[in-house]
Amino acid sequence: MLKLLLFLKRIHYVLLFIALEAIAISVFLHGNVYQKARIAGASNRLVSGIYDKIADVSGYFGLRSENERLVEEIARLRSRMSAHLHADTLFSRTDSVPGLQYYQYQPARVIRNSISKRENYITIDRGTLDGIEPEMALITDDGIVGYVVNCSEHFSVAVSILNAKEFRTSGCIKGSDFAGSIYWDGLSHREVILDEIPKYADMQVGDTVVTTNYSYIFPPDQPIGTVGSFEMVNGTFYKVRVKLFADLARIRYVYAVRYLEQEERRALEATVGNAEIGQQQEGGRP
Amino acid sequence: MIRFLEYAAIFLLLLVLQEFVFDNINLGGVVNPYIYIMFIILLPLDMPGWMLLMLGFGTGAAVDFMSGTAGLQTIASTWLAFVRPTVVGLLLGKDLVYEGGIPTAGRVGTGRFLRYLAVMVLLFDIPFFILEDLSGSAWVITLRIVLSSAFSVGIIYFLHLPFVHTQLKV
Repeated sequence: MLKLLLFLKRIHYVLLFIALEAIAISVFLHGNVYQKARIAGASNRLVSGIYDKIADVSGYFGLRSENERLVEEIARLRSRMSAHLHADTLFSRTDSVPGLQYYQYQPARVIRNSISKRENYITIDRGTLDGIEPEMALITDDGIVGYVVNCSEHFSVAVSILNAKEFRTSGCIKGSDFAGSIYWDGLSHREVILDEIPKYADMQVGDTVVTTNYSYIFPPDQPIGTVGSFEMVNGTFYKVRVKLFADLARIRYVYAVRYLEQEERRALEATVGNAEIGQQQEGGRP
Repeated sequence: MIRFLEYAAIFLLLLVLQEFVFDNINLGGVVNPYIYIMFIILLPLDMPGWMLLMLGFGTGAAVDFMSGTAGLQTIASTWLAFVRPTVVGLLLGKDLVYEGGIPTAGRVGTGRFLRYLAVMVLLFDIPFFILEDLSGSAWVITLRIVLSSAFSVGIIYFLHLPFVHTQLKV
């Protein structure tokens, strides 16, 4: 008995190390995207609060470029609006009230944003009190940047498009119907991958890549980037490197977008056992 | 008690620096310095093993909690605390361990201190960057390890200069 105790005393250092390491590894292996997002700041009011203050101050230094960006966007929206005045009825539904809204936009400020990790998250200064919910898209006028996964009352955390493990959505070459999946390979913060584009697709370097109609989260035809280069894989499909329009290192303001018919569509698609399609599409998320 | 407060202040300062300054550094997509491990590297040499392990675990857990990397930092920092006595024994010599105090360039010599610092930073960065990107390509991970470590060694050496002539003891 005494020998055993002496033996334990001798190896207590190793035993303690193994115990502590086991705790850390189990957290590492079992942490899912929601828990990580929570750790990343939504429930962590101290860190989010400090980032909020930092964003307050640093925001002043970007006011001029912010203004220029806003004027450009207003001009773009005005031209789009004038087009709608003369639009044909193809896009409106016969049985619905005119002007039915599918997507609701609201502005939010980015208070924390990382691009240096493999799994990057974006924290915005709007939460459940402002009507933000998980599964809302985050976009800028330059394109998609992520989607919300967790909210507190005043803050929300989103998976960034620069999240190699969690971010998946579908994308296609603008003007063609060939869709593939968009993900980040963890290398450059200016590039993502558009994978599994069928080999029949016709594309050129410089073509625009946009979101598709398939997503539960992102509105269709949102810009993502341009084709930087592409290669044939196994002679069956293309793997495309997409240069992002949005510079993720410099985003200050985003729009949180709610897809108003998300629940209805999901419930309907689940009834025909087609739920797997949606699940695959957003990276196996429920 | 005074010593405890000093260490707590250094600990908080390093956490804040890591979270609000160095976590935002991403040179060329490959340089991500983790400088908070300076706390583990500079702990007193005569510190009992169990305390070293607990502090290594606590430091990593605190950074994990702030930056949202579930468990990743803790795995690497606990490992770093575990191997520190061995590294100290091999590179700095057992005599220093009996003397206690913190290892600085002033006490052990700049060359010896840099060697100790580089080995410690590498021992942290190698498991960290491999675990962070398990499916990544080997040469990118190697590049990240080498460049990030070189950068971290420079920063930590610079940050430790104020302690060169102090004799912090527990």
